[in-house]
Amino acid sequence: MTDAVLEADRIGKRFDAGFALSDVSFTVRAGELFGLGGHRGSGRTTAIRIAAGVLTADSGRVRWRSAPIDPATRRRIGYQPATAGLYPELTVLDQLVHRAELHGFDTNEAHRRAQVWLDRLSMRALRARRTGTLDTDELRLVALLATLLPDPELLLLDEPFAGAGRTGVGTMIELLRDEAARGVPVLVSGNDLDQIERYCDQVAILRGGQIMASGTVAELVAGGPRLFRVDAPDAEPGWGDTVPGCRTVDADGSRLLVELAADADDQAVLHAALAFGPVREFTRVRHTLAELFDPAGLM
Amino acid sequence: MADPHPAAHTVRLVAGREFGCRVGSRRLVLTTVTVAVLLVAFVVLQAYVFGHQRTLRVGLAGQAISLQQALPQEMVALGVPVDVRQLDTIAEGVADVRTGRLDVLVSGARSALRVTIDNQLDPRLRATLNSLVRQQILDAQLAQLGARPNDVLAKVDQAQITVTQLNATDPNLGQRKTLGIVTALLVAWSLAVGAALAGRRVVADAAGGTAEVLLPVLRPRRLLTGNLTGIGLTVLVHAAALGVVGVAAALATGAATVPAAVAIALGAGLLGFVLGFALYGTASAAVAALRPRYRGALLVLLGAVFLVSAVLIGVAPDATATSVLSVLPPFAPVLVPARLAVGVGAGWQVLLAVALSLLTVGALGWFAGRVYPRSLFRA
Repeated sequence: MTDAVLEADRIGKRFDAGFALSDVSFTVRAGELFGLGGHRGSGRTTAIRIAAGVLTADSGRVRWRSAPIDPATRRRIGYQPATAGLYPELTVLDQLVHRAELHGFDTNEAHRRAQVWLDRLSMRALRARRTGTLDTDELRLVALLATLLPDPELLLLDEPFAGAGRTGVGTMIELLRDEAARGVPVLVSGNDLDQIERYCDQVAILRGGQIMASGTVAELVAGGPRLFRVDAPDAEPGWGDTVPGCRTVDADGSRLLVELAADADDQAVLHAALAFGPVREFTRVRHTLAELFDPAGLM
Repeated sequence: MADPHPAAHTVRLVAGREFGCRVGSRRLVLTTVTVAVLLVAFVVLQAYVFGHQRTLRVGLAGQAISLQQALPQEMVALGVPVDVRQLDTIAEGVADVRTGRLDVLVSGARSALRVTIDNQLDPRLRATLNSLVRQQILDAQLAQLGARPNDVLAKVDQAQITVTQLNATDPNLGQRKTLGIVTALLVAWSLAVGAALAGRRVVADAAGGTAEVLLPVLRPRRLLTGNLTGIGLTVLVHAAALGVVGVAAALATGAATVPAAVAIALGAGLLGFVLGFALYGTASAAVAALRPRYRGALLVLLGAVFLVSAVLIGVAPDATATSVLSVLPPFAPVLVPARLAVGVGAGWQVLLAVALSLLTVGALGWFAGRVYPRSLFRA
């Protein structure tokens, strides 16, 4: 599946209320877990819908395996909208079988696949339960199973963990990692950047219908401010601001949080602290994606 | 993997899922059972209360006992059943009338009968008794004149008027009208249930993402067709069950004495439902896709269609206005089967009604197919 690449090239979409997406580009490669972060209204859902071919872009194009998405391609995509998309009156087994049948499997094969997946996740006991009676973890897991059942070549999942607890999210992430391991490109959207940071290889963050940042988690974090925590008990107050390119951001007694300019030398800061006496702490403070891109916690 | 998603296959899968979900749903079964109970209760009332000819209880005392055979014969000829019994005394009869055990006490000589009632004398019994008294006096007068009363009466009986009937009136018209109104009610009820379910499915699909998740493998039009087919079959099963229960009750109780009319009503009612559901189900889906809050308007329309149809069937099933309305699409599914149950309506009217309805269904289907996909992303 090395050629299994999804490319969104400058896609745009406008609704009556205004632009939902503007010149959005991203690439999801085979075996990659790609996180599309952003708050509600940022354009995540529109982007995924366009990628899945259920919504048409006003501009730009989406290509899968270097070709436009057509009806035959769409059938090989595992698409899950933000709502679970399950019929509450159907049992879990009927739900899975129905979805597999609609993907072209005969009834026997659909049943077999459903049983295999339920057994794999030790969920056999749920098969006769109506979906409407499941808790959120179970509901989200069943929705993901229904998407995975037909062996999709590409996964596009809009907020697949919404409302799920830690255990449910952990199980689902394992499933997605397994899919990525067999070469499936996996695009997952969500507003929890901490979560995205934990399991995604690549990340794009949307705001106002545009991509504000994209890259690997390491790249995105590296692009943040250079912060160091320094504890020099014998140092004079305000010593941090005397070092060229260094600025004190926060002070807690002798512990300072200092920000270094891009061209400032961290060793110069350490030497300046040692000049006053012993240094008990000198640590690079790494920001999370949430701290960098959602400091107000709006997502 | 079986391929390639032919339209009929996917529509059948969706319809099968919808049918399987709904046909045994507790709410729908409960509703159908309730309507069935009401239907049977109506049929029983029709048979034993509204349409029942109450037997007149007549007591004969004294010389009037001689009417023991003649009175029942005359009354049965008028279609009025009587229960005649002899009494030992007039006082006993009066007491029975007072207590309600008798409707009428007849006493006295045959030429001067005396009738005791509580408060009202059945006009047909009054006419019969008057006739018997006059007969008795006529016999006596003829005997006095030397004629043989039996010969004279035989000649009198032979004299008949000649009747030329310009309009043949069906003696079962009343029963047929009742049948027509009941048919209209059941069809309208079934259509209301079907339309409500169709609208609810569209709204639920949008809210729950159940349609959106299928869009990569299923075109919206096929999904809508499958959903409507499944809902239509579901309600058809329930409507057919109601029809069978109603027919069985009507035949068992004797409320319906024209089995052919009942069979026509059942068949026409089911056809009316199929046509009507294609019309109202599609319209309901379109309204739910456009303006979910207004989908109840169709139920109001159906209620109005039923009321107008019921009045027209009861008052003038064969009038020009009724004929014109019956071919118009909103009325056709309810009014056509009702008129067929009554036994009126020309074949060309039925065909025209079906043709106009199918044309409307086609237009509505096209419109619903355009607006339905937009509704799926509302959530």
